[in-house]
Amino acid sequence: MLQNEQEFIRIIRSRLEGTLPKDELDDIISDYSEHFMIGKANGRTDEELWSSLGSPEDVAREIRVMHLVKKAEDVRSCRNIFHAVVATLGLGLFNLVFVLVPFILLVMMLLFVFIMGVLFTVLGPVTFVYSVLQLLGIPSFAIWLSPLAGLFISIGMTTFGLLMIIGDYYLARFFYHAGIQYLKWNISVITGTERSA
Amino acid sequence: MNSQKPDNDRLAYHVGRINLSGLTMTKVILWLVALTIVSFVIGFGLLAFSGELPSSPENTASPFSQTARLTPNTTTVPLDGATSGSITIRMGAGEVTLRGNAPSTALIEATVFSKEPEWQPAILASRNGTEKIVTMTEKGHNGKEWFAVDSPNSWDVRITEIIPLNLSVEVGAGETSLELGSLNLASLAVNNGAGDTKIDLSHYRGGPLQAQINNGIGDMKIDFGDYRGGQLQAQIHNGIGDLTVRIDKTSNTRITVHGGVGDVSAEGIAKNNEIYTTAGFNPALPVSEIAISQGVGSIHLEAV
Repeated sequence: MLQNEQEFIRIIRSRLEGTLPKDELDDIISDYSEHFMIGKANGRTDEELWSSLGSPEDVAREIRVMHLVKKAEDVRSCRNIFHAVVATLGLGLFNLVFVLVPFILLVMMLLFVFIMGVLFTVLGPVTFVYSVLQLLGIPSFAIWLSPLAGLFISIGMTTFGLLMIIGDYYLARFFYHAGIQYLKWNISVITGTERSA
Repeated sequence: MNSQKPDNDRLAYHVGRINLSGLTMTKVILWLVALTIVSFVIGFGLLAFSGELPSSPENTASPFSQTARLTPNTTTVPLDGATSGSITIRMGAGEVTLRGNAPSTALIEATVFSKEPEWQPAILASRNGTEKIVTMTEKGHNGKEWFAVDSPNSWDVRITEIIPLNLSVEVGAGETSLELGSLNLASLAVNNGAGDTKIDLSHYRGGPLQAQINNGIGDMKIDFGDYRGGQLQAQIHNGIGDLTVRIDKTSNTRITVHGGVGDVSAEGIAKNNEIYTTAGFNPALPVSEIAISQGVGSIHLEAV
């Protein structure tokens, strides 16, 4: 494979087209073209400049990850954070452990809290109705040790469920922000390591 | 106004902007917290003051009657110098656990966990010469059947290990667990209509034993491992469900199996048609006989 400026630019462009907006991609291409131009003006060959930049596939992968993480930071959505996490996995297999596992555990925890919240919120009114029917003396609905206590505990269950759902939302926001910071740190560590190697 | 909405977090924006006559999200959360605390305090407070919330550490504090482990009701029937005993346990639905280790002066010590007053068993004791006869019978259900299925009804019966006993256990539906290895039994009769049955006669050191064990629907496990008691004659019938029988590999045991629909597997036991015998079986010596009939389900025989 030829290691010249055109090939480097072609690979970068082909890898990032569709991911980055056109103007942003043009800016990046322009930066690398300029890098090659200045390098050659200083007497360096295409191969030397290629080697100094590293593999264009790796460069494109890093740019893509950084772009997706930035996008997830700017526009909060499940889709964006998912894309950012998946892209980060491409930086190294060890990210399966350091990114994917914590991400899955976090999502499961948030989902669990949400489901429990919905469960409490739904069960509260149901048990409230049971309390009323038990108070009216219908034995088939006698689920409470004390129906009067059941009325209050049902209300408590409902409000507790709502609090769990709201808390889950704020928890998700907190972990979203923390997750972005972690992904950035992860990328900086990996790219820094690669450069030093 | 729309132009002021941040694109990056529309939901947060809307949640934060909820305002119903001055009701902000912060206020909603504070109200919910207050309402939750007050509701639970009043609810559990009512239970505590009414004395319905169990305080014993071994019981689970629950406001629901179905899951509540209520304060147990314990009844002791004294031995009164009896030299033999006959015990009959009859339960409609629930869990029954029988084991040895009753207090030295007692024939039985029965602990009943049950919410429904009508489920408190009647315990009747009488004498026939030197034999003490005890029957523990559930009085029967009336009403609330739909609800009562999951209600706690659990009997834990400790039985004397001192005198020989005729033991009969009848359960309509439920879990039956009999840990009888330390008892001295003359006869054993077990009937469980529906539910799992577990009978542990391992380490049995009592006299000759005649056992009649029937299970309608459910799995059954019977353990004669390390049986060192007198000659054993056991008839086992299981209607629908899996059956596991463990015997002592050094015993002189013959098992006759009349299986219905299902596999029969044997481990460490020789097979000859429907007859299974332990290694070194000698019909000239006293033989422990086990007859098994099974309707539907697998049978697993194991010599340990």
